[in-house]
Amino acid sequence: METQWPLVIFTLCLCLAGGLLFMQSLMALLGKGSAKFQKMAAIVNIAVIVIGGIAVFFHLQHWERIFNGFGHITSGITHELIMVVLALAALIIFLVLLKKGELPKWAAILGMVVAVVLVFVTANSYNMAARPAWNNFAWYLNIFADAYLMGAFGAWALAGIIDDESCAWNGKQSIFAAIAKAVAVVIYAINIATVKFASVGHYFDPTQPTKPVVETGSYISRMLSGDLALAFWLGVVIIGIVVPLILAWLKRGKDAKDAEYFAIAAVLCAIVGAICFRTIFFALGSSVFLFY
Amino acid sequence: MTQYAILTDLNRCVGCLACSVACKSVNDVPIGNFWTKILRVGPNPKFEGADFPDIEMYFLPVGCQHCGKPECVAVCPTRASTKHANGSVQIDKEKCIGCQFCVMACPYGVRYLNEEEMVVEKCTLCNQIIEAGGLPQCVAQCGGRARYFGDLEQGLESFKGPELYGDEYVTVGGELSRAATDGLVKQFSEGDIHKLPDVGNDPSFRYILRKFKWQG
Repeated sequence: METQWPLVIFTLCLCLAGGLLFMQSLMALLGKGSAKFQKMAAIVNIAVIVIGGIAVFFHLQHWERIFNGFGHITSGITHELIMVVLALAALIIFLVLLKKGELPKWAAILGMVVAVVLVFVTANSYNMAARPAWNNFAWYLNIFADAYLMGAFGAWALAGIIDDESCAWNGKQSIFAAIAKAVAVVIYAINIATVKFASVGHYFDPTQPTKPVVETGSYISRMLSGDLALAFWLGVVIIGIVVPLILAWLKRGKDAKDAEYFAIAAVLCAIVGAICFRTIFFALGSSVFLFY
Repeated sequence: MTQYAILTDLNRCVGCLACSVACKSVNDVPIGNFWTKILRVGPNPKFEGADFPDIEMYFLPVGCQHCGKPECVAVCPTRASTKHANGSVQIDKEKCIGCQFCVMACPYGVRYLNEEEMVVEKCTLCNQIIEAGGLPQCVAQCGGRARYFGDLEQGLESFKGPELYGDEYVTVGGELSRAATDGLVKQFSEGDIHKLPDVGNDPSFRYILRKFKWQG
């Protein structure tokens, strides 16, 4: 199906927000990062969620009816809306608590739980039996890996910008996150190779009597060497994983100087990679039963 | 429990598109959208390695299958898509926000965004007609007399189409204008009854295809 750009931005923002919320909560739990870092992370995170919220309005045809969206508890969109509100509430609680001092452990655990559920419902919304390429655990794995990747690099960038003592620790986390995303992408590719469709349709067009409706071919070959290869190899693999990993590796260790430039470049690369991954996701999102 | 559905005898369907046109005419379906559309399946070889003339082909009318467990209803965030007491799946346009997740969740690609009203639409099973006792327009105007309408819970034998030699194809509420499947449809076995691929949504529509291989 066609790339739904507002949804690309929305899921991207929710992953970044979830990842960053998890990382700052984890840091609070482990006693890493200053109150200044925590405040900055919370403010940036609120901005990210707001951007995601604005993006989703562009997807809705009747955005003025958005509050109807809380109306059906089996719907993934309802889950997302609820979790967005809860994530914003958690971040506001963080800011209130930070005014009084450091984040308590219960708040850190609350933040981690909200972050994990937020990322889960984001992935779960697209888990549809009608679309085989979406209906698998590898999608969930990649969304969590995206959240970890962008969250870790985002935290590293924020720590670098304010010269926080957690900069080196976040840099190390970023290396783990890039490796985790690489593993998730390999699992996704293996999974895509097994996708099956029940395709019987042809165009109802006498001038093209044998043309199939959709060239299903092998989805894995589309991704590795076909029309999606550029987005996959250059976008997801090189820009999205390899470059951030190299940048994090170059600045590993406690005495890293000018890490913020590397970290900002790395997080931007991770975002580009996550966007490319989502465009591939939509391109592979054909229905189980293909016709015009 | 009632589950209204349409039964199509594919051995009678000639691919004339009358159902598609009738549907568009009665329901004011926008250009580019199809609440009922015809898929040509084949020509396919009758056996491995077969070539002309050993080929076979059939036409498959496809629309909303008014599923038993409709995923479009489950994913709708506003309850705009609901399953009615008669088993049909309907959309309340006043509630639809146009998020199109139902379009993504439908396995059959039969939901469309109405770009004038900015809401999602699909086959209503001509609810305005069947509630008054009539037949869906695609059934009433089927050029091959291949379509029949009825309650799946009452069995396929209870399905009815327009009368064979009547002057009027449909008389709303008039049983006299109907002909039962046992009067028109040639004998079929359980193995001849098919439905579209089921990914847990339990499609309600049934298709009869004899002698040919059901392609899935």
